Amino acid sequence: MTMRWKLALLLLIGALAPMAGNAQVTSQRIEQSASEPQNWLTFSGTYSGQRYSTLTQINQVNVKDMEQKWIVQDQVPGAWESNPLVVNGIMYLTERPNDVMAVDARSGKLYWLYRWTPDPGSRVCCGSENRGVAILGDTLYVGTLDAHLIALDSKTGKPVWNTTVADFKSGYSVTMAPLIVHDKVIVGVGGGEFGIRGFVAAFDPKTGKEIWRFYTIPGPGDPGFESWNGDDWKTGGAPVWNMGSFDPALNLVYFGTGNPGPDWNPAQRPGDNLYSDSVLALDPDTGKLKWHFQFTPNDGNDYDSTQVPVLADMDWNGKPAKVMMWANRNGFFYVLDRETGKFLRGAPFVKVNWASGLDANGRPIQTPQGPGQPTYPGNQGGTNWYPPAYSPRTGLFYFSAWENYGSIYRREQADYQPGRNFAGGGAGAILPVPGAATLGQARRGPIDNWTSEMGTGALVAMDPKTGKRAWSFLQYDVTNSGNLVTASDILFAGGNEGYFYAFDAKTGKLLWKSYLGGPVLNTPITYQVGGKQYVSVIAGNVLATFGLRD
Amino acid sequence: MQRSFGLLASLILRSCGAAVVFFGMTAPAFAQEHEYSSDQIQAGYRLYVGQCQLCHGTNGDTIAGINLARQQFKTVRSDDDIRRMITTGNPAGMPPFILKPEELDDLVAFVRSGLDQSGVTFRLGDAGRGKAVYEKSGCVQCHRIAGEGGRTAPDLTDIGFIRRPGQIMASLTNPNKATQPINRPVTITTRDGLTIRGRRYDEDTFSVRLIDSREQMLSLQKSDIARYDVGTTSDMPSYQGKLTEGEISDLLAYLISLKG
Repeated sequence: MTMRWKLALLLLIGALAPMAGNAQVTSQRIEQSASEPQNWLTFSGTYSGQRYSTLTQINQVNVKDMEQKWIVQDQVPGAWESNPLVVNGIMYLTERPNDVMAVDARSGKLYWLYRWTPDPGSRVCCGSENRGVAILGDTLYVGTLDAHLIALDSKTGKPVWNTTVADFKSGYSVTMAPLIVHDKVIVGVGGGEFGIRGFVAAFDPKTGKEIWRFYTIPGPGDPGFESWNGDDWKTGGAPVWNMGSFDPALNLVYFGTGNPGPDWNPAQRPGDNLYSDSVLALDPDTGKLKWHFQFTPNDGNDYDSTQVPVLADMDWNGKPAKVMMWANRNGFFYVLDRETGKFLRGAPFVKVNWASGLDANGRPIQTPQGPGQPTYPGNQGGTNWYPPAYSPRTGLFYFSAWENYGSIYRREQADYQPGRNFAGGGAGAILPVPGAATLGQARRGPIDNWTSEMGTGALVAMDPKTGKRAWSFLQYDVTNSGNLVTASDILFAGGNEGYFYAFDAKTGKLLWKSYLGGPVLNTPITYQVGGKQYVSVIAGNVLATFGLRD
Repeated sequence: MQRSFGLLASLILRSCGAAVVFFGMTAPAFAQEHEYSSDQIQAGYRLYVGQCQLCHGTNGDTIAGINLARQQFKTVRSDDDIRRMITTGNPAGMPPFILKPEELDDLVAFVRSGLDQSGVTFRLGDAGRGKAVYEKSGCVQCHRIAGEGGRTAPDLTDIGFIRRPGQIMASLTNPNKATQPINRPVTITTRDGLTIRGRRYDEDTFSVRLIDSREQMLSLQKSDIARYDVGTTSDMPSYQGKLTEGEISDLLAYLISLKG
């Protein structure tokens, strides 16, 4: 190449550089999303699941001056678990049941709203949830309650294609946000309460054609099939209903799987029930399983392991290590080697009595409680779907926990009928006076009538190197809030009580709070538009966006 | 529909005081006295899971306009109506079920229990007599129905809609067990030395809201509270032994009829 051509090329690159912010969202750009913190390009901000942002305009000193800038009002009442994306000043989010909207991230005003009405026959166990969209190029991807995957034009909200992921009549649904890896749209299915056979599948972003499918329950001849008895595997559950993470260097995508079916009657499905309640490491190009780690074999307590895997590199016993951190619904906090799946550490983070501990390989030593006896943690778990955060600056792993919370399980024979509830019993609350009234129907309604007798909430800052808490922020009500941490060492989180908080991520000191009048059921995000940093959170039926006082 | 029916019914009730009219206007009607035993309810539960749950759902609320747990039906009123509906089905899509008479009794018991799997035995008497029991037994001093009575205990205007018969029965006979956690009595001493006794609306990490013994609505910051006790016993006396079994079954029938 001559000097002149080199110069011309440099000029061309120089001319294109300012447009980079408007360029289409590519897989490469998502891979390097940490370098453009003004955007929130994928569910967790980056592929690592850390929910760590390098934006620092809002800092320890000025965070107390945050004020509400704008809100979006939910058009469809009900629990709102969406996780927004922000691309070049435009926020994309979902509301019940399968609405998608594009909103001006500076003003909250709507660009467009797309409505998909799922088939009335679609079944979900726990509410008409949708946890958000994915973006690739100028196309958005959303899963639906009737188990479709829909591609939408990001500028008009008009459908580009619509494909069927699975048959909703058999209890399948899609509630998670899809994950884009290597120009593929990867999505899993819900339906663990309906006797599905769970799977994760990758789709062609241009056509919607399925590229690969990995069944989370092995079939005849597959490794792991021996962990099932007879035909139990056909209705074995193991749904994938929450976001995974991706390590580009190892080329492994990680997904957590949900409970086996029927939920509460493990005696009806003897064996370990692979790969329920596990983390799976898959090759994103082929869907081939590289390794798995099962947190809760033969689970009878609904301990879905669908938490977002959090990936970080750190020193482990004096050597650099690629780890995966996981606060599990079963009440244990785990550190795994994410290259091999090897168990590095595990200890309870809340009261646990379903297992007396973990063996050297991380397998629980199960101590099932008898009929009528309380099991800890209870049915909603020590933690659940709400994403944790990790700060490479503090080295702490942040998550929400339910403390002193247990359930009394009822275990019954479940008969399978396609698309029908396949739960095998139920779970009741534990109260200080034996036989006392439970919340049951009473928790319906606008007043938060939870009392601490049934369990309390905690925001936990866990030191993964010691397995001990660096600090906790205790709450009266339990909490289903995700977390966000920034390079200013500010941790943002909410709770069921309706508060939205900013803490010093190092010490747990409460720096700021705002009452939003409804529970935070997913997690805050942060982004920057027009040189200003914003923090958005959904609480109740409002998405509220905060920034510094002008 | 449920609420407007209830409003109409309570207006009629207040204007003419005739519980008979009340039952004539609204489902469910418990014209005769019925006793539903624990064994029947639990047998009914097993039948329900096998035969009914597929369409009616775990909570009995998956068919539009019908909520079995809350005794909300389209046409059914009496226990015999329930039996007839199960036996003959209806053109709207419910198939007929061939069951033995005792199985029908079991299913009726389970439905009348409000799908209460715990299977607490209860007997429903006469709601009209139950209203008189309510008025003479002092309930009205603390509880309120449709604007009449005290406020220190929960308002019962819609108690038949939000609680199951077994739960109400437990409240009458063993209130310490049956009190909803949020309704446990709280005693607060503020840093100013003021002592407040009351019942909570809600409590969170920083604050508590309650109605006190003078029926004042209060909001307190926990940072202003010196001492805070939540009682484990209910302020409500047990009516076991104070009322006859017949009176309790009448009172229960009356309370179940209150739909708000």
